[in-house]
Amino acid sequence: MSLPLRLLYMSDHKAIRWFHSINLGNGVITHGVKSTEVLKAEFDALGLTAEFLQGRRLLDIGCGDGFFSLQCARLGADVTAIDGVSRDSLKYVRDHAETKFTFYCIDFLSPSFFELGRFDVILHLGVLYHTMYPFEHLLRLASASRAGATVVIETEFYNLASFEGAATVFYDYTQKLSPDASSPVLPSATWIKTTLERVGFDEITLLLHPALGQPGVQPDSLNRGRLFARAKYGEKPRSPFLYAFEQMA
Amino acid sequence: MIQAGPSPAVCRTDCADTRSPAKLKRSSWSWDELTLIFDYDEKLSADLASLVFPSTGWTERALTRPSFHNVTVLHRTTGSHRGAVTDVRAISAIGASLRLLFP
Repeated sequence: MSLPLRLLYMSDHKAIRWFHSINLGNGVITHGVKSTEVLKAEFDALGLTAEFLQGRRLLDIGCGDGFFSLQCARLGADVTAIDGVSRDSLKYVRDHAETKFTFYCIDFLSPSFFELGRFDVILHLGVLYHTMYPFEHLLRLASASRAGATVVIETEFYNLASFEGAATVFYDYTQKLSPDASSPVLPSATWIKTTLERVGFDEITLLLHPALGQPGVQPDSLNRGRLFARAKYGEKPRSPFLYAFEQMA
Repeated sequence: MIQAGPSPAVCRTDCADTRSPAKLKRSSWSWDELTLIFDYDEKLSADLASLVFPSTGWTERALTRPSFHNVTVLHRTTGSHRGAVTDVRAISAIGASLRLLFP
C-alpha cells in the first residue's frame, strides 16, 4: 500500500524548509538557515543549564520548529510549546526526536491560553517584533509566571533618534528599517526594561545578541540591534496602571 | 490625512512645532513617525492613568491598516509636540463612515 502524498513528504526531512539546524539524535541533523554553531551560541546566551531546568515547568512561546523546546526538554525541563502555526518541521521533530514535549497550536493572547496554567521558565524568542500588541505580550508573560519565574525575551530593538533613553515603540509599517513586513514592531531597549518592571518583573538584564559580536556593549547605547532580556517575576503581582480613583485614594 | 480643524485653536499637527523641551529634544523625529511613547516616568503627564502617547502618524496608520480610508485626524495642540485628538473621521472598506469625537 502506498503512502498518501502528504505523509510521504513528511517522512523526508530534506523536503522540509528548516529555520534551525536540529540534531534529532537519531543520526539526522536538519539543514536550517541557522547553523548549529550559531544556535549553540544563542542557546548558551540563554543561560539555561540542566541544573537550572531540571524538573521545571517551561513554556516556549512561538516555538517554530521546536529547536529550543527540544533542547530544554533534553536538559530535563517539562516543556510546553505553543505557536499560532503548526509547521511541518515541528511535526517532524515531534515525530522523530526521542525526547518529547507538549505542543498546542494556540495564540499567546487567546483566552484559552490561561488553561495552560503558570510556568517556572518562559521563553519568548523572536516573537515581540511580530506582534501588534507588545505591551499585552509582556503583561501576559506576567500572568503566566509563577512567583520567582524566569523569563527570557529575544527581540529586535530600535532606540528612536532624539528619544534615546525613552520608552518608545516604533511601528515600521513603511518598512523604513527592514524589508521584512512581518516584523514591524520595534520597541526601544528602555521600553523593554521599564515595561517588564511595570508588569511585575525584577532583576532585569539586557544583553546584546551574541551574533552581533559586540560583547560588553549595552543595547541602550546603540541605535538598533537584537537583544536578550532576562527577568525574574516578583513575589507579588503589580498593577501596570494606576487608575484615577486609585491615585485619589 | 491629518488636517487642521475648524477653530483657530486647532492646527495641523505638522505645523505645530512650538518648543523643544530638553526631555523630548527633537532632531530627525517627525510627527509622521509611527510611534507610541510610554510615559512611565511621568515626563509628559502627572496622570499615572494616562501613560500612552501615540504620534498622529501612528493614529492615522492604525486606521488605514485595517482598511479604513479618507482618514482625517483633527487635533488641537497643547504645546511642545503635544496635542489632543478632538475628532477622527474615516470611511471603512465597505463604505461605512466612522466618526470618533473626543471631549
